[in-house]
Amino acid sequence: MTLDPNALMFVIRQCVQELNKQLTAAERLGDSPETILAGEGGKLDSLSLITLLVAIEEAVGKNFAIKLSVLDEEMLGADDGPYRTLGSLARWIAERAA
Amino acid sequence: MIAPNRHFTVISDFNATPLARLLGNIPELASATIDVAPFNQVYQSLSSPATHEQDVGVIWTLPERTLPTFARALDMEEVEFDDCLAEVDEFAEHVVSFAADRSQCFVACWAKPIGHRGYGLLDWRPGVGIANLIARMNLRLAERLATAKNVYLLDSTQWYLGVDRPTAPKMWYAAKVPFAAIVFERAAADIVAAIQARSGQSRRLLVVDLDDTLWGGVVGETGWQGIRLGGIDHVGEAYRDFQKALLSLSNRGVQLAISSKNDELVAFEAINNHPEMILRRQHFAGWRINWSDKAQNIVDLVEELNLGLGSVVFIDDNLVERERIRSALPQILVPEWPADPTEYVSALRSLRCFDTSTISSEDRNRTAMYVAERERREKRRTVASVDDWLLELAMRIEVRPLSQAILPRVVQLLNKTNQLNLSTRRLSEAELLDWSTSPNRRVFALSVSDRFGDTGLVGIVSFQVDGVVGQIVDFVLSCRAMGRRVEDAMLYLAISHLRKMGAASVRLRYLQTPRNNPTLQVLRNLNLTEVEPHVFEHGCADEFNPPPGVSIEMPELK
Repeated sequence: MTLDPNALMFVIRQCVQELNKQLTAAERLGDSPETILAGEGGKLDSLSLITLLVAIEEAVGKNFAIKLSVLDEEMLGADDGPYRTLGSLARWIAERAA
Repeated sequence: MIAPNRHFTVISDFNATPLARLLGNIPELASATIDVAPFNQVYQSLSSPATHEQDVGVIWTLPERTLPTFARALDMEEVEFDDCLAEVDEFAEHVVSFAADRSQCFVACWAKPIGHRGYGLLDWRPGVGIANLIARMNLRLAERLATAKNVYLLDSTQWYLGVDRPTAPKMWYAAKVPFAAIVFERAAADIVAAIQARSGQSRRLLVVDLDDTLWGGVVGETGWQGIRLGGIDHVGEAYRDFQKALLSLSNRGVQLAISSKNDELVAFEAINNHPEMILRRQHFAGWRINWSDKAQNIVDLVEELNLGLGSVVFIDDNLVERERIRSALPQILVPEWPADPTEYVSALRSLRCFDTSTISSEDRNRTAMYVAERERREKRRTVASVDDWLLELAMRIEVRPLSQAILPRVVQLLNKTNQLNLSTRRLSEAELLDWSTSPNRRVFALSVSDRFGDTGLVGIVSFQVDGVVGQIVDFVLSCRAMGRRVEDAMLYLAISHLRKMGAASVRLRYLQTPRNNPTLQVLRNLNLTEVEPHVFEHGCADEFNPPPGVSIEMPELK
């Protein structure tokens, strides 16, 4: 299935908004594709990153009716993996859905 | 700010960091520090001492992780329910001990794991079923925790009712977070509401519109016979149920009032005559039904009822009116209101702002007291002077020393009264009782009644003597008893006792707050000498008479 990139980013942004409710003002994420999630410059701790990934996984399943595992613990510590930015995450999800 | 500089400790056997983070983002808790106790060390954490007497505890556990017998029951092993209840007793004992040196403690009640069907059709069978066991555990926990006045059991089942997916299995396995974010959000909202209730910040007056709010349609156009209310019409039934829900709020002490753009006579034709009206004239503490601006009407209404704008909630179907009140009177809570009247009851019941930390028979009878007060005011308008009016009222004041029997009501009044409050002390029951036991201190409560009815316990006077100097510490009067010279009686009581206790003079130091300016006006009208700004004195040898025409029953002076 090909996911519409705009629709996917919209869903991801909604999940970011939900996560931001739990973050302090200094920690809150922006919603541009360049927003850093993990690695150098990232502000999220592991709980926040996991929370975001699981929320996106559920939202993708609900909105696009596809079952896709977004959380991969082996990639959590990677500086340059799909969790690097919102944009890289969206591309990775789209590739796996296709 | 409702918990300035307080320290919160969240104790749990799961990862409760989401709850702590949500609490930390609530503006009312901006200056509080919120810590999460070490993961899954519940009993160890319950044994840790408070860093400050104002510390707050939040305890949320999964019963299968804290009570071993329940864990076995959940695994479908045969267990003795009494063994489980013994573990509940031990848990409760730890909670009560933990709370003893803290200001307040909130405990989430237990629930069966979501989706666990237990024994199916046998699940409510005594001695067998999981549902039956959990119910008994919660009842036992509630009974044991009731011994501690600063511990409150919160209904955690409300946090996941109606939520599509309340659990997050992947979050549990990845991070030991058992619930979806919405569950934690509801928990945080309930905890904040509980703290506000304990701080005396509950809302006390609900002002409602009439057309398309209490009934369907515009009564000025249809006449009272044409409004949609009750009957076999599903919308009419929804309005009727909304009135019943409002009445139930009134039964727990919230006052109802009307602000409506209507002809008052036409509106009351509906209120008095429609056979399906639940709310009648006697259920409303006041009303402004005219064609004037609602913002000014509400200001006048609130002043008439001697309340503050911060006590008020406003409900109106009309978005323009809601926005008007929001912008003109930002202290008033104006909840967003559904367009569909079939959702009115659930919208009303979802409001947390009316929660209180105690409830008394006076709370339940408060509307009758306001109606009586309205009749007093109407009588006042027909009488020439205040003294003549007091004689007409035939007022009786009963004075009682502080005792266990009246302690909850006294502390409730002390903590929620703002306008006539000399020092605005906020104390727990234990703190006030402890303060009052010193031999040089006294605390008295005043109850007032007259020929229109019983206003109940409305005043507190506390004082102490050091050598020959007497000091009134608390001088508190409910706004519904102001203006009837009860203040004079309170001062007369204090001076009489302090004189007997050896004081040569009585001093009152007014501590200004944003809301107690009426206290300063009262003190300046009481024939005292303002020896320095906001400090008043009266010599005990000087005459101070009780108000005329008022009967005062006072305990013997000691």
